[in-house]
Amino acid sequence: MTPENLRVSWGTAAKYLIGIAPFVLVWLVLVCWLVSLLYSRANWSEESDAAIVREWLEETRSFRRTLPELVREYDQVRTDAKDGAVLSERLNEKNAEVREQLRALAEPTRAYENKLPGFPTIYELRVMFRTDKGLPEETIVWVNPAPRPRQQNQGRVQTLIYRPFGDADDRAEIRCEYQLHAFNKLQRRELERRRESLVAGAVLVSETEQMARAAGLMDIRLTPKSDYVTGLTEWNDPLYQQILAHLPAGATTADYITSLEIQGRKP
Amino acid sequence: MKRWRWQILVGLICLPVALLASGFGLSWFGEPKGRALALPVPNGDEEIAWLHTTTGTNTWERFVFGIVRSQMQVPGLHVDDSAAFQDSTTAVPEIVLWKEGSPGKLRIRWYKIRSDAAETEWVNALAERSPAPLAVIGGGSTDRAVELAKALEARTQWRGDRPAFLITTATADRVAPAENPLGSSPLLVDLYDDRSFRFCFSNRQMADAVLDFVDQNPELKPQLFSDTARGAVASGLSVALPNTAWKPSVFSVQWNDDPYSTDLHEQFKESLLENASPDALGEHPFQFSRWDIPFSIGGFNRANTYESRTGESIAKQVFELPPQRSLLILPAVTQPARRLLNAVVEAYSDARRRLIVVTGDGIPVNAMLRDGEFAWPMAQLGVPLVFFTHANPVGWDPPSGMAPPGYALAPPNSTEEASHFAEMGRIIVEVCFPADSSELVNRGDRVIANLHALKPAFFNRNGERLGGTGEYVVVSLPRYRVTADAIEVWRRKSDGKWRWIDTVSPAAGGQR
Repeated sequence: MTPENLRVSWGTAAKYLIGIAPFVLVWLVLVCWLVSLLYSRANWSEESDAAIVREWLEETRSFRRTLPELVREYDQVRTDAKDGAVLSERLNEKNAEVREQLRALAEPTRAYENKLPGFPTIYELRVMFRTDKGLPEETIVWVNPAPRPRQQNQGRVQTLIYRPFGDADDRAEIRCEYQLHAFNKLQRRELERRRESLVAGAVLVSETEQMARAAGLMDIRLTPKSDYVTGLTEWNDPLYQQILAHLPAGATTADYITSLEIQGRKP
Repeated sequence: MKRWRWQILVGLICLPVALLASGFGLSWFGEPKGRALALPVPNGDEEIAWLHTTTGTNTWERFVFGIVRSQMQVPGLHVDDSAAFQDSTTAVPEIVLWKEGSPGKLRIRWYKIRSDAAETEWVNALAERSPAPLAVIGGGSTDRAVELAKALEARTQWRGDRPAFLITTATADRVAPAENPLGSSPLLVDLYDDRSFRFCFSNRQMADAVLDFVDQNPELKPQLFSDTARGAVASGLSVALPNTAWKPSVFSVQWNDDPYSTDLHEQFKESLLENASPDALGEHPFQFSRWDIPFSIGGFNRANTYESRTGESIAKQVFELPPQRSLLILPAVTQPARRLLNAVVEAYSDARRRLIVVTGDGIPVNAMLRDGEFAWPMAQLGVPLVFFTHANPVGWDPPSGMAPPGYALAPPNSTEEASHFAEMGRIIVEVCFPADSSELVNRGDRVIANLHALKPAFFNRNGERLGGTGEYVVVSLPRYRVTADAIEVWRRKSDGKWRWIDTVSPAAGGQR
């Protein structure tokens, strides 16, 4: 091949590359989107739970006023008490009112434990006032006397932080530690998260080998374990069914995704 | 350009996909947060805004129930409730009313009061829209009515007439100004002066009615031990008692955070002072004791600290009295009233037989009739209760009634709210579709004039509902007084006498 021919074929290749680039770009975007969807799907349940608890805090009126409204009122009474505009007795009464509201909010979840829709358990409700304009820091708290679950690392107990004066104003903060759903549901959610993370976070086999090398291993041996992925399809998960529906007839997820046993030697 | 067309085309397709994938802010697709948005009104139609909290689904359902049933009272009236109950909780439900021969339609819409869209925001949103609503319906409770009346009073510029304020069930006569609680208290209907109309009875009317009923009923009237057990007195037992009372006792409690409670308490006290005949010495015939509770928040049955102390104190006083019948004024809604009464009878169980409890409309008949097993367990509380309703609570339809499909009234649900709202609906239709015109009223001032011109008159010149007749009083009788827990319903006639309407049993689901 002469240098002229070589120049021509480079030019032709570049033309083809430019032509194909948009399609590759579309493919990459779709892959990124899929990964993003899978990750968000793994977390939507927690987000939905947080929204439920937030609504509960925002809208429950034990007696005509919500907890955020009472917190704002109490903050005003604290200011008035500092200025001498109200008696300390009024401050104590308002403090007791907020305390009672926390208790009244949590009481049904204790009295009807494992009987309410969504199986809510409240472990702690805490209202914190920051030091502001000479006002001292203050905390009003209700704590569930029942023991907390030990498997906190599995995300069973969630924490919601709510700012009654708006997200940007940290004068006061309501902190709710809660758990929603029965234990069985929590475990299933955890399995689901693992499965989705497995697919969303998957890399190419060649990349896996490179990662192992980068980690300093030598004599790397990769042994595919496709049985594991085949097992995934038997879980009747709707997401997997959707993925399967988009594959060519007769193909399975095991044709595209595999589990690897990685062996290597540290020099 | 031709050379790049495929690349540009694919790029244009990819760009939105890439933006979506990267989670680029698309906030303009969603509903703006924290805003009150008044819906447009179609040409020729008019609107009435029903302002209530997001948790008022049951009240809205009762309201729609009553409005639909008002078709039974108004010939030619049609009500479309197809958009009254919507799937999305953020939607604005509406009912549409029209009358045969009138081209325009009246739309009653529920604008939901939320923590990020309070009364003022909604009033401002409605004021900035054309046309202005003919009226605003609200005031399910006194504090809500006060907020709404203040918001309406503060807003003077509207795209049309200022609307009428139609108060549904807020009953306080007066409200203490928050900025100066010890200052003079204006009337609730004066907060939005000359434009407020109260469809329910006021606290004073309720207090008068309930006390009048108790006064006319020897079985309930507070009495001395010497009057209730003359034989014992004759035998010298009363002399042996350590603290023989010389006046019948009246205990009263008020919850200071509830304007309904403080006002009703005041009205009961004034009614007693004005209407009771002086005793032989020319003095007031009752011995008063009063307690103040700072707030109404508490558990379902568990009293808060202040309620607990008050309950024990009342029980102690009842215990120290001779076994005579005393009156306990309990101006509160169901939960605080139940908690306090629980605290009293837990501290002294015999208080059940020595007290008659009176209150206003804060405890609904449904608390006993439908939800009695937990909301008002008559056998457990054990104290006879005399309370008030604005309409007949046992006016169920006969089996072959003419109610619109799905809107029949049947036990065990009481009928007071539906009847009250049906009456309200009848009056709204009468003033918005006046008999002397084929046109739908299109000005708030005209609505107000028509409300004042109702025949027979329904309101006084100040916008208060006329009283003295049509009031209902309900008596709950625990089983130790009768064979089984029972609820008696009475109605005041035009001659001032009370006529028995019905007696029903909560245990039998409201059956006679």
